[in-house]
Amino acid sequence: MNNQSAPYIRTEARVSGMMMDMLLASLVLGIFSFVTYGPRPLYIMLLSCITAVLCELVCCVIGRRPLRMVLDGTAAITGLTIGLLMSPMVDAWVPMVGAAFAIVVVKAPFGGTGRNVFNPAAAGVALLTYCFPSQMFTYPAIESGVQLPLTMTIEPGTVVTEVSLAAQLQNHAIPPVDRMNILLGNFTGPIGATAFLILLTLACYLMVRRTISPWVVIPYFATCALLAWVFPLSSMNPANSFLLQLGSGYILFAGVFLINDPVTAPRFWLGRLCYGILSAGMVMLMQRHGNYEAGTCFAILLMNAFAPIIDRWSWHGWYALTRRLRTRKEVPAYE
Amino acid sequence: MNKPQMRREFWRGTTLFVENAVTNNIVLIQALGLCPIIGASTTLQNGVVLTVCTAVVLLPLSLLMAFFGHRLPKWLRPAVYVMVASLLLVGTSFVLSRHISSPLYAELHHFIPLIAVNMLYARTVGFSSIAHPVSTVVDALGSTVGFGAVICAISALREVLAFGTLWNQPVDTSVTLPQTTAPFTAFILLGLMAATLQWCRLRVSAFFHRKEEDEE
Amino acid sequence: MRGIEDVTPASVRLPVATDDTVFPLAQLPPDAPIRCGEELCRMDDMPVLSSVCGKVEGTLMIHHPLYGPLQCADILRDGTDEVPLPIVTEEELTPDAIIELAREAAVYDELDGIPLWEKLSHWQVTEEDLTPLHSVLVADGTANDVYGSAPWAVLKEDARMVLDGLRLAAKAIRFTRYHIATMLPKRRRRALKKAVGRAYVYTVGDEYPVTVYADKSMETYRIGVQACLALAQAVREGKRHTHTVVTVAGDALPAPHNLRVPFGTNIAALLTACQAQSEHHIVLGDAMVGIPCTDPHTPLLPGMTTVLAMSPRRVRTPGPCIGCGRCAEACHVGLLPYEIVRRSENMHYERLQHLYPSDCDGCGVCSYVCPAGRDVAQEVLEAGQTKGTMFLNWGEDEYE
Repeated sequence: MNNQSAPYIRTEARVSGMMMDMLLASLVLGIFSFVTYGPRPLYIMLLSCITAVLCELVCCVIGRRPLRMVLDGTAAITGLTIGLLMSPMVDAWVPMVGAAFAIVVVKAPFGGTGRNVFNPAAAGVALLTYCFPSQMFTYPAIESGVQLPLTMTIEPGTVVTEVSLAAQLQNHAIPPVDRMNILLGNFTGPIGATAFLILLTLACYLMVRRTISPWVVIPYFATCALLAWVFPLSSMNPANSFLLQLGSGYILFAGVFLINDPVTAPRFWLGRLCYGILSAGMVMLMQRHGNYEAGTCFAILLMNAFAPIIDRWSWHGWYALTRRLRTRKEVPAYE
Repeated sequence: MNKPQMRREFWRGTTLFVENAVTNNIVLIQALGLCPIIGASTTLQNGVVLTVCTAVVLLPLSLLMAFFGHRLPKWLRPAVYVMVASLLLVGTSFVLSRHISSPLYAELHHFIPLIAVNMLYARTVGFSSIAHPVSTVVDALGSTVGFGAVICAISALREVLAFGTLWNQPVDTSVTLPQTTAPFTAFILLGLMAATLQWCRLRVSAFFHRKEEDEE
Repeated sequence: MRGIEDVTPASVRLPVATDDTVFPLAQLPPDAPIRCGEELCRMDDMPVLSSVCGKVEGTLMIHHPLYGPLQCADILRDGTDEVPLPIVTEEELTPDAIIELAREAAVYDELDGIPLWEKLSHWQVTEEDLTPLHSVLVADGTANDVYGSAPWAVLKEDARMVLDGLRLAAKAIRFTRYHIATMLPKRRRRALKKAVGRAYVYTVGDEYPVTVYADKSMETYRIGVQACLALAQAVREGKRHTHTVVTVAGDALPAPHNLRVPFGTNIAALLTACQAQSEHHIVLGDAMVGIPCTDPHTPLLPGMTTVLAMSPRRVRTPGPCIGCGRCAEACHVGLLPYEIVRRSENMHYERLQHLYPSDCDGCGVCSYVCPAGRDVAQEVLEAGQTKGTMFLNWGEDEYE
């Protein structure tokens, strides 16, 4: 009967609740993409999600971890995140490869949920970016309102393709700017990463629900915006530069999904602040000078490696400062 | 030297060898000599060449240090061994480029000089300056075998995956991934191999632990 | 909230010896008549008083969850006789006399169960000492818990007497500043200020755990509200400290109660008085840091102001730490509970000390907020006690 220990009351917040919030956020993005491209984005997300969950199941069986750890939803979110960063006309096996890599190589060998050093979704997308750039960065034209077929692969030539915004920026071309279209996400890009306003709304929702920490998100967005504003692309109006740079690539998406993965981000508020600022700088650098039109994932993987150090050092600095203040009024201890 | 003494010496040498080669593998457990493995292990030929280079440098060097190392002051030993290693490597690369294969040398000429400052040698030489010549040779052999096994395994795997060949002979593979020539593949493979070895070590030691408990 | 209800149990069980002191059986023969306030034995220079008037039935050994093994005497109640203390006048009350009186009246501080006279004599300063200039004696009436409300009830009943006791205690240690710290709702706070005077009430923030009981520049010395009341009663009315007010609450009870009971009352009797449901488990202390109690016949001893009856819940299997960082946000000391737990799990004991796990005061907030349902506080406390040298030596043996 007395198998409980103090405290005898516990908070109502659960890890599964946090994961449900993230699933909800990915579904919102999926539905947005459904409106534009038809059911194929959802199909891609579903396949990648199923692959991730199955791989996690297998790894749990092999690693003799309790199977309920599959049900906490982290693997499903990894899969969905990878799906959201694909082009809508990508071959369906590509995100499956990415999801399998993310779980089998990046997550499971380190000990599964809570122990992975690198964000599995970012690692999966980075692998796909490196190995299949042509698959990743070929986007269907958005004006045609094309209904993509629900097949594993899409025959080349059957779909009108278009150069994405990020690729245009990378080639120093100045795309025609329609601010309304960018804010509404009505431009060429990955499934879930174009919806400017929706992503910002999701960030606010998740912050209110305390699923993602404002100590990461706000410094990240602020630094990105500042950098885009202060260093505009060649002879561009700063406001346009801000919209274009943040709207293209994975920058906004990373701010909501990738850098907020609590396992791979620092956990102390000061460390989170530093992490947000540094990863924003790294992401903007990769975006501007990287080899690929979307180098965000590489930047985030790089920052993941530094996250534990940032966390520890920031805490040590903070505690050394405040410890003296705290212990100043010490009453002679009664023995 | 009587017979039991010889037997003991033999077992001690074997332990030293097996430790460096397998159980306390110089690359996978001690994490030494990673640079050539990450950078150059793209084909099996490269792997074998680097192994041979290592052997050619390591054996004479450790013998030399076993005989003269303890006479040198401590601070001079690293300088001496880097110099001797460089000299040996100059000879090795000369032989490689003139008499064996010039294109192979062209591919590896970045990595062969780097071997001179490899931590593999630092460890071996540090050991050999204080140990008996025979055990230093055994130790150097063990290190070479441990290093060679890992680099050959990784380079063979990467060659098959990337080009569909093994020692330039085509192998029947349906998919090739040219991207596996990138260094990150070697990192991942090394990590997985290290994890597997650690896991085996744990299993084996747990087995013997249980056996001891049973006997008690 | 209701006022305090008096409960008179049929029998009480009081400690007469700890396991390492020899119990003088000859002094307490069975069926010996004993009056309320009479000395049963002396423990650590302090009399243990009988809290009821009655007969000694016998003695037995119990294992108390807070105090460990204790030799206890069962006293069957059959009267209301009481031994009064001599009443002293204000002029006779030198600081040392007050401390001596606190000892003879067996006044315990209910915050931690330490005898009040020990605390006071420990804190007492000489007349030339300047400590009182920047220190303050605080009567802690905060009830810093979800369920506990005993100090509030005491303050509601007789706040003037509490202030009087606090004044005496301050006089005993030669402090000039003293006040009652509370976190009452606004209306009750106004009533309290009216009763004792605005200057003597300090309002603390509505937070858990309370760490600031006075202005930040002051050193704070804390005693309990009930200890103040008992001291005042001992001096003014000649009553010894034989009764305590205890909150009996918990989600297995239909309504929480504040009960005034003699020391040594069975917890089972308290729960029966509050109509506890059949299935519950008992917690001594508040819901955050309380100690589970298996034996319902455990006696109520000084240092306990809350008894909880919690209905059994399904125990959650703790999941892996996902690193949300809420424990670090919640920790009022500013530690990193997740990192302490991780290092302690990975047996990196040598690197634990850099995280100051010994600064933890065990408030239990980190366990409360953990969304994965882990017992963070428990592990941090254990890490604070681990020195790790033993394990370090073990680790080195491997390479030999």
